Amino acid sequence: MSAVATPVSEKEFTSKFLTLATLNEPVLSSNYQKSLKDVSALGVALPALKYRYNPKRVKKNQ
Amino acid sequence: MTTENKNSVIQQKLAKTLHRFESKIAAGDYYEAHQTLRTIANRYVRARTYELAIELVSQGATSLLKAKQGGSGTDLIFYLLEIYDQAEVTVDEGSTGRLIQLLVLIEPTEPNMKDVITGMNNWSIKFSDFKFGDPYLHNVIALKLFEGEHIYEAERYFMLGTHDSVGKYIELVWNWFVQAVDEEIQKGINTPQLTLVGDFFSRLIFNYLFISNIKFANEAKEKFLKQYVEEYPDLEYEIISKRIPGQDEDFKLVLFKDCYELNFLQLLILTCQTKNKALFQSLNEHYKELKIKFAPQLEFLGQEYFGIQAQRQSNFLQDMMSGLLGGSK
Repeated sequence: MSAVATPVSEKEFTSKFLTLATLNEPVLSSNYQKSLKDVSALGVALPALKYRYNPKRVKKNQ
Repeated sequence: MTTENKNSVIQQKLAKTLHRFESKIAAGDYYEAHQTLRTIANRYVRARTYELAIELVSQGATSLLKAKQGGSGTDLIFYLLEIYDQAEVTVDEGSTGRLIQLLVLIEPTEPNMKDVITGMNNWSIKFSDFKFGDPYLHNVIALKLFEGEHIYEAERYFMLGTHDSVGKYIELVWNWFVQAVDEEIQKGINTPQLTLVGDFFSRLIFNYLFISNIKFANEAKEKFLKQYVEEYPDLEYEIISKRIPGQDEDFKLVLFKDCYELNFLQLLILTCQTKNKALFQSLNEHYKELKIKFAPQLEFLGQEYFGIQAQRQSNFLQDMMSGLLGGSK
């Protein structure tokens, strides 16, 4: 995972990336949602996690 | 006899039938109650008085489910769905609400629960404009599946639910993440949250991006990351706000020092909003390992938002045969 970057280059990348990504108004607004009537594909199945979820074991402080 | 009088007589007969049915239930005579009700409902169906059949069967199912007779109760729900189908009942507040009320009463351990859910959703697909079924029904289905510990199925229905579903879906993923962290800590692993968080957070982001729901992806981002930084105060991060032309709110990036997967996923939402292919490629280029880790997800998003055609898997034998027979690739 270290190949990705040191914290500095990560920051540099994101800073430049954000500048480029926000030059113009985005095609889809931050509130955009395609109507579920128009959704024709659900994407790909996400991989199963190795951790089993236990609904009865929710943290006490929540 | 006028139509009004006729209806009144039918309603009285229905009330009488239901009263007899309730008495049998109260006496614990479930089998006979169930059979009698089905016989009478059959008569209504044959006479095409569907409204009465629906009323009778749904009330009967309600009583049986309340009496913890899951098998008989769900049998009547299947019958109700048959009547819906035959009567071509369309999806609306009333027809869906009736199913939701019954669904809520089913015990999560009921063996027929998943079949009932499939039946209900298939009806809503057939009689609504939603290719994958009615969102309001999905919201309740997801909760029911979640109670029954069918987590992956619940996830899919949460994703296709209403705005109410978003908070519940985030809560589910968050609790799941916290449990996974606890499990790793018990094994003696230090700060497992740093390596685990991306696996959980990405589920929310990808699932909403898949169906082009930027709003819910952003909401999931905000809420999940807020909980994350509150739960783990030692995390190193900074918040970068960027003004987006034409938007009321700034884009906020929580830039994590030790969790670049989270940085990537946040930027991915913004990139999908731009639909800019070069930005998408630049993002993938920078986060090479994640490009591999999330290859199928990113391939789908590449097609969906940026018009990038998925590379065809090369089939050597097929290509050779095609070449020999003069076909073109």
